[in-house]
Amino acid sequence: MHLSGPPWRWLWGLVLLLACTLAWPAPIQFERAELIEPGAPARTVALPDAWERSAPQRRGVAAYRIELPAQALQGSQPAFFAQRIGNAFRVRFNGHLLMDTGVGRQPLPNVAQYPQILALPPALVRPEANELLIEVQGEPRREAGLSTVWVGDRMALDPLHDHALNLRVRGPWLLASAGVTMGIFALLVAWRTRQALYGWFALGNLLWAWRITAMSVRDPGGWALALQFLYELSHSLLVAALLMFMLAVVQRDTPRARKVMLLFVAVEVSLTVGNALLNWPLLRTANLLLALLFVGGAAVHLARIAWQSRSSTAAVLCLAGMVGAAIGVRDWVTLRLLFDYDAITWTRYFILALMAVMAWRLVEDYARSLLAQQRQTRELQAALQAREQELQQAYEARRALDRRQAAAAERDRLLRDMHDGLGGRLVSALALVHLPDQKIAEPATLQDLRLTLDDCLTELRITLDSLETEQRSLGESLAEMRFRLEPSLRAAGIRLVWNVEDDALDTPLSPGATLQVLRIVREACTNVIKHAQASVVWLSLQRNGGDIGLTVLDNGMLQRSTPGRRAPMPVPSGKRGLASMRRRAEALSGRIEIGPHPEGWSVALRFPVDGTAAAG
Amino acid sequence: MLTVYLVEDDPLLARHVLEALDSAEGIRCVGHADRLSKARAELPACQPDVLLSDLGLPDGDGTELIRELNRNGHDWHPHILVYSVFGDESRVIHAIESGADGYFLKGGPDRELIAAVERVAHGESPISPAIARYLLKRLPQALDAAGERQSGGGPHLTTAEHAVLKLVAQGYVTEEVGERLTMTAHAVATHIRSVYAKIQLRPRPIAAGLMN
Repeated sequence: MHLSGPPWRWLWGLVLLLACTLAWPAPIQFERAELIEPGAPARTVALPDAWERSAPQRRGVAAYRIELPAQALQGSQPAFFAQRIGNAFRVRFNGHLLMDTGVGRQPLPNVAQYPQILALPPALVRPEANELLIEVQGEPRREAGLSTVWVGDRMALDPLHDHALNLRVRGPWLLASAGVTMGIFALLVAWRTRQALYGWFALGNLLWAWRITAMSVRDPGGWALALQFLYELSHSLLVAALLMFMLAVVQRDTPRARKVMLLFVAVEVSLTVGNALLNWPLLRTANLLLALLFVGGAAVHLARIAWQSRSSTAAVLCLAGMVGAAIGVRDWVTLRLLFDYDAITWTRYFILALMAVMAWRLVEDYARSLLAQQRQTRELQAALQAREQELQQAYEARRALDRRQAAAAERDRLLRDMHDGLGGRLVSALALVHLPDQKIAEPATLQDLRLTLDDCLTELRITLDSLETEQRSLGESLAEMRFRLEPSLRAAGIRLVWNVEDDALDTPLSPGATLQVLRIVREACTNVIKHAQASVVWLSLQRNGGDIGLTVLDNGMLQRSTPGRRAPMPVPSGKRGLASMRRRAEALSGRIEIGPHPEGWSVALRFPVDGTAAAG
Repeated sequence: MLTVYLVEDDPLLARHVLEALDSAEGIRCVGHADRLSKARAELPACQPDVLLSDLGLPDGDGTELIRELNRNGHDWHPHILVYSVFGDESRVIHAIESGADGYFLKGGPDRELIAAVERVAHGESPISPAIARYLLKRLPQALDAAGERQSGGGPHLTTAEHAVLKLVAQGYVTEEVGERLTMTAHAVATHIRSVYAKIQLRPRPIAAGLMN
């Protein structure tokens, strides 16, 4: 029997055509041989001969004798080629041993996975009656047998051998490495995402990769039977894992599905164990058929899901299941019904379709999560913007409120100042005017009146200054103050010595705090003009770290040359003036020392710059 | 004899000022107006040495009169002293830009007023810390010691002018500024006058009185 199927026939046709063109004699395929078994008459058997069908219980050596016609050996390099010979074999050509893969060795090796090509030495070729003897040693359950045999020129057989090698050895290794890669990849994804579907896929892939190459072990030693048993056993696990994967993809991996799957595996395992114990190939055939039916059933189930939920994913999976089942049917018929020892299983290549599904699924997942993330980012940004806007509005509202409160506080302060300061002074001036006429005419009263009115102007001026929006430094405000006071001081014959440090001048102060300082200075200077009889007044301003020190010192004591005595300050401006200076110093969180000094009278104010923000 | 013309709408204050000036030695009041129109009409005939003018007047702002006097082509020009209630800085500065020589606060002692009139007649320009501060902000300091004008810019302050203005803004009076900068009070006054000239719309030649 040929490698089946029309495509192969076409290929062979081309190869043969090529061979003819190159004048190589066509190789001859032998589909019959004479079987020689110990203790039995020789008989003719058809090739390929799978022992699982022809002699499942045979344990030992059976020799296949093939008579080679002269034209088979015409080429310059006669050779022999077979798809499969297993488990171990020996080849004799015209009685000469050409090859031995370990016949008679225990435990028995297994080379059945490898296509064989062997040169027949031209020196051994006889003019006629050439004979090829293939002694095959096999064991039950280890897929022993002999494929069809080709004899012809090496140049014509090499392509056949190469092709078989690709499909039986190289291809499977390639698939196995791809399967292991995908399996590990899926395993990592499963570990990170905690999604069962990747776990099932990883299990399926790793099992698949193992199964493809498990039988390629030439010399499994004592493990040969165990290996075969596990190989058969793993089939059901593989089918279950991949079906669970498919169900997980469409989110139907329900507990019920798991139970059904477990039942399936249990039946399959019992069949496998039965075959291992009883060596009934029928059990394995039934085992595979059951798996096939199960896959078919799953495909139908997926088709129903696809139809019900209009899911393209389910449809793709259903298609994959159908293709898998179809390939499975082909393999099952070829290998389990016809026992074609030449044939290659197609199922192993089906993993490529599943990998494509998986890749598609991963791309879909990635794209979906990326899109979801983008959407989420957009939504977050929108939410953020809305929140920012709210905050902005709240901030604006808060600011408006603060402004209103500040304005109200400012108005209160102004009213208080007007009432206590300007109002009080105007009342004093009025009281002076209301004195009896002869008293008013006295120079002292007039001087008092003038000073009081002057004070009113200064008070009004510094109150207006404190309303200016532009914040002034302490120095600027003090300079203005001096400008106002200077004429009055000069008129009283007092020289003001201005002794201010640049550092202190540049200190920024709140308008309220500045107002307090200016009022203290004004009060001190007014007192000097009124009571000190001084000729010089020193105003010093220093900054000492976070503190401002301000001193107003006069030389009234020296002028009077009566140390230790000082004229008592007349009420009301005296005591009330001192009290108001103390109150203002407290408002600045500072302290003030007012009292006699060796030279005269000293008013020393010290207050922290930081503590003045709230003052006023 | 120093001649003064007063523009003031408050009759009580006007009478007081006129009396005070007339009582001073060497000063004579040659006229008084309570509104701009009258001042405009009388000034060309009076040709006073000093114009003492209020700003807020019933028929307009004193600044207008100052500007007109500054613009006219007469061969005489009075020294102008603005007479104002607690020095409304922005108005005063506007008046100085229009050509005023300085200002004096209403309510000050008579002696101080007379001294201010005399000083302004000598070409000095009274200044206050607030005006000094404004000038410091308004005029950038020249980078080279000599430069009055930098390329591409408007007028600049010389280093000395800057130093003078800075001390005035800190509250020092003219004499103290002179002591601190080791220059005469006269030199301080010259610097201030030259700074005023820089901000005036049409600078006049530095007052002849100062040169005498």
